[in-house]
Amino acid sequence: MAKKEMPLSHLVLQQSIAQLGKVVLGKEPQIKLAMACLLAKGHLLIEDLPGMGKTTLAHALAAVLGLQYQRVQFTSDMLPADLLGISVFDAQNSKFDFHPGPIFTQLMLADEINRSTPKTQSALLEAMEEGQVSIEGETRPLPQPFFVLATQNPVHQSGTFPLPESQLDRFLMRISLGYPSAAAERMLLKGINPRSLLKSLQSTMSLQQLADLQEQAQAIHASDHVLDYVQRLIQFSREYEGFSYGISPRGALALISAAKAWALIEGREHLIPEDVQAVMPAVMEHRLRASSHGAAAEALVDIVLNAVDVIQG
Amino acid sequence: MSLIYQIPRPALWWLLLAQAAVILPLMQYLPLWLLAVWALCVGWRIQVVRGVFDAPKVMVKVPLALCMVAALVLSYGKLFALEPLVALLLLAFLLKLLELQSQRDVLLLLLLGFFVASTQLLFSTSIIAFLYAIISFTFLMAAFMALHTATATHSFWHSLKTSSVITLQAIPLALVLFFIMPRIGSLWTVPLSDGSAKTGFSDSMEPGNISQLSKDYSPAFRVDFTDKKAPVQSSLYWRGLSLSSFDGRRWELPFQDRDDNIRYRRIAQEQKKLNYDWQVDFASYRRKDSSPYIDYQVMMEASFQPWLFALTTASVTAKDVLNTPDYLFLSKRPVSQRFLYQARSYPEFKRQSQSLGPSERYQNTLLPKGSNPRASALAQQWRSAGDSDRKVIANAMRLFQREFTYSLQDTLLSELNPVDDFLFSRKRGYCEHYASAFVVLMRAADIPARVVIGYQGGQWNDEEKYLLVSQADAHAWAEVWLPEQGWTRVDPTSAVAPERIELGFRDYIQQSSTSIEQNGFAELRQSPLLMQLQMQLDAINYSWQSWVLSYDQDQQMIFFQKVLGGQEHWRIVAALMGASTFMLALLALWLWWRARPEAPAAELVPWLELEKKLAAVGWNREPGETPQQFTLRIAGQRPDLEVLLERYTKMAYTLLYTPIGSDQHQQLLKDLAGLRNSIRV
Repeated sequence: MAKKEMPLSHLVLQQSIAQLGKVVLGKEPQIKLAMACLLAKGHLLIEDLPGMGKTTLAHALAAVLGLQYQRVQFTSDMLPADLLGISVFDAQNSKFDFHPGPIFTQLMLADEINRSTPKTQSALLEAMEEGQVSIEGETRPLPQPFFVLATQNPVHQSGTFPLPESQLDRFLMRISLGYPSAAAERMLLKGINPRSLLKSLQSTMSLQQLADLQEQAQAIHASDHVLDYVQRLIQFSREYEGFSYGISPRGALALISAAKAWALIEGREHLIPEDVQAVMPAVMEHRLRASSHGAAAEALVDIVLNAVDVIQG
Repeated sequence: MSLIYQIPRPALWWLLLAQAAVILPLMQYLPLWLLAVWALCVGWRIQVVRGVFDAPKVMVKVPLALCMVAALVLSYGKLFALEPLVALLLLAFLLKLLELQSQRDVLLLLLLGFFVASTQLLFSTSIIAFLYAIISFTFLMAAFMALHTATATHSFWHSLKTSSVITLQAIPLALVLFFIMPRIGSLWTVPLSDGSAKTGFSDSMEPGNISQLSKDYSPAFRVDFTDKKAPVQSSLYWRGLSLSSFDGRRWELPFQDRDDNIRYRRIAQEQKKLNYDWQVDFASYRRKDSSPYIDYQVMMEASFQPWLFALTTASVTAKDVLNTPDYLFLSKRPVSQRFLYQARSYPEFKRQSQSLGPSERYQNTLLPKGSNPRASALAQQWRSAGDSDRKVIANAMRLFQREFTYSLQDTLLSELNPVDDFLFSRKRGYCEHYASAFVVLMRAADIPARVVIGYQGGQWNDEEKYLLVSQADAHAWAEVWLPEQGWTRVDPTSAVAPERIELGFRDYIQQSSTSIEQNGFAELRQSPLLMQLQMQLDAINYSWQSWVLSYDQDQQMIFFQKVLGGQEHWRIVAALMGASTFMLALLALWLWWRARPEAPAAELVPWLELEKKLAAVGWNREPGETPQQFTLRIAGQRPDLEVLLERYTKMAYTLLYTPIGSDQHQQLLKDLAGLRNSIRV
């Protein structure tokens, strides 16, 4: 990684974030996290109430990054084949033709993923983890890059199938958008619909540039002291009595790669504790569970962050 | 049906190993059939553990035990002596193996094992035996460990490891208790093995019996001179006993002195009543300040004889030891174990210089009639030539010097007139021949003379600064009585082989000269390496004896005086408490050292230093706060510091989180140190 390249990539990223900011108003932290998630080649879960702009964000991301985009609305009667595709017999040629499902795209928005049955949810698993799908005994690769942006309504809403831990673990981050700020809401009320701006969004980078950026994110230097800090965080999550289980090695890897992508967005070539702290809630909230009911996931991450010393153990 | 107790397997193996360790040294002293008994018990126990045999019933056990005791009585002929009683104890230790019906039985057996393992020290108190006892204890302890940790999944050797650690931990404590705990004398004494194996020479001298000892390098005694300086070899005449009665061949004590017990009692009674001239003389000489003397301490090996050894004209302080009229020492009981005594010698004291009593003169000039006629004729010839006493002595010495050879060969002289045989036909012999012939010549010339036997010389150990006198240093010489001079030592051997006296026996035989090669000394030589090794081993033994075995109440008092500066009770208690505190402190220190925090990495130091500085004025970083957040917080309160702190944090971040070379690293450390000094909080 050449040092000169850095400002340019930083510029591209800043541009992308600025573009996204036009559409998703007043949500810069969430936009940055979403970008970081994609740069770390992770899948993103957006959890929020209906009507908070989840779909808009997904759409805008696809537009800005210049990716193919498919949107799938998950429903309770949806079957895996609806997602993956189906082979249809062609009588003329006496053979089966494969009709790819909506999953064959670069960025898939899985809207309201927790409305579908576990069977369909788990059909996504292989796709997310391996970048390929197996249909009727045949393995088919998915396009590169492949991202899943899933949205879900809060679990306690009726008619939902909560994602199991194993599936939650496949998502690098889980974020929620929350209500817009007063100023942003005023704009909405004034009739300026950001959605209409979606069409005007231009892609800021090529596929090649995206791949380069992902590579740069991976190459971010993580010194022993940062790794020590990460390990202290992980260790604490495993030893603390308030958690029913600690963070898995996969969770630890997720934390590091997300933090690296964050550092890239911040325009740095090395990782600092602030990067780790910035991505920690998004990466960890859906991976931790309190041993007693009632404690909110947000509070859990705060417990870890406040208890673990940044500098030394 | 009740459950049968089974000893855990690892505990059984350790128990058997420990038993083997305990039995092994005792087998030197006890009948070997005990081994067969052990094998029987072990076999039976293993079969019981495997579930093949039942544990023996009372009907079997009682007759078995009785048979064993009977066998013991049969093989010894008696029961109440040291060996049979130890054997009985050992037998109990072995047979108990058949009766392990509960954990309590196993514990009992192990405790018995500690007792049996100690009994080997009744037979030998060498350092080897002592170390071996410690090893046996470690094995027994391992069996304990295995018994108590049977449910844990440790490896077989884990028990030994733990017990070794326990033993090692016990050693410092044992040392403290050994040196500081008040020592009481032995509460009972065990009749030690009878002195059938007398070492050294007997109470008489005849041709051949001293030369026999020349092959024996076992130690006779060791001497610790107070000034720690190597003495002059030729002055080291260790007098043992003087023999004045001669039957033509054999020199003995006078008839009335031959029974040691009677002699001791007689002298003790005489000395109670009267003060003899010889005692008064010596006592007044000793009181004079100008009298030169040598102080030393003798540690004597068991000789099973009642006499002690000292340099010329010594006074000895030891319990139940008498000074005899010939300035020698007689102990009340034979020296049957190592014996330590203090002595002071006055080399220039003249013994009985005033006069010699008529009976003494008679005793010391008496020769059996008609024996050794040629020798008598020669002496009378010198005498009739009008020579003085000194001239006669010189004649005899010159005769030996001119014509005689110092030799270990051909030491058995003819039965009849052995002195004539030696003087006129063989003309070669060992010290006893010269001493005997010389005294015969003197007596024939009417000069009172007697044979003295003892040791001459010794080997100086320069590392430990002591003198080792071994049996091979045994020697015989003569004493003649001269008017004004009193009893004077004359060593005819020094005329024949002066090197023997100047070098000492061991160094003498190491020389390579034809006379040594031809006269039977060469085969006594040892390789220098072996000699060195022996000396070193002896030094270890000596330290062991002087520090441990002879550490009694008196020694302890000396120790207290030296180390604690007094013997009061409070000092002893303070020493005990101090020593244990010291050991506990060491332990605590070690634990602390083990748990000490690791030194922070070099990159961390600058930031930690700043934190310390800021903490001093009350700014503490929360654990979850990053340095940047922390400095930002401070800057909110102290805007003046903002720039400096920001720069410092940035540099600290560079140091901590970026990949930099060692040059830059050093530079950063330096810059940070400089910057830290300019931050005034």
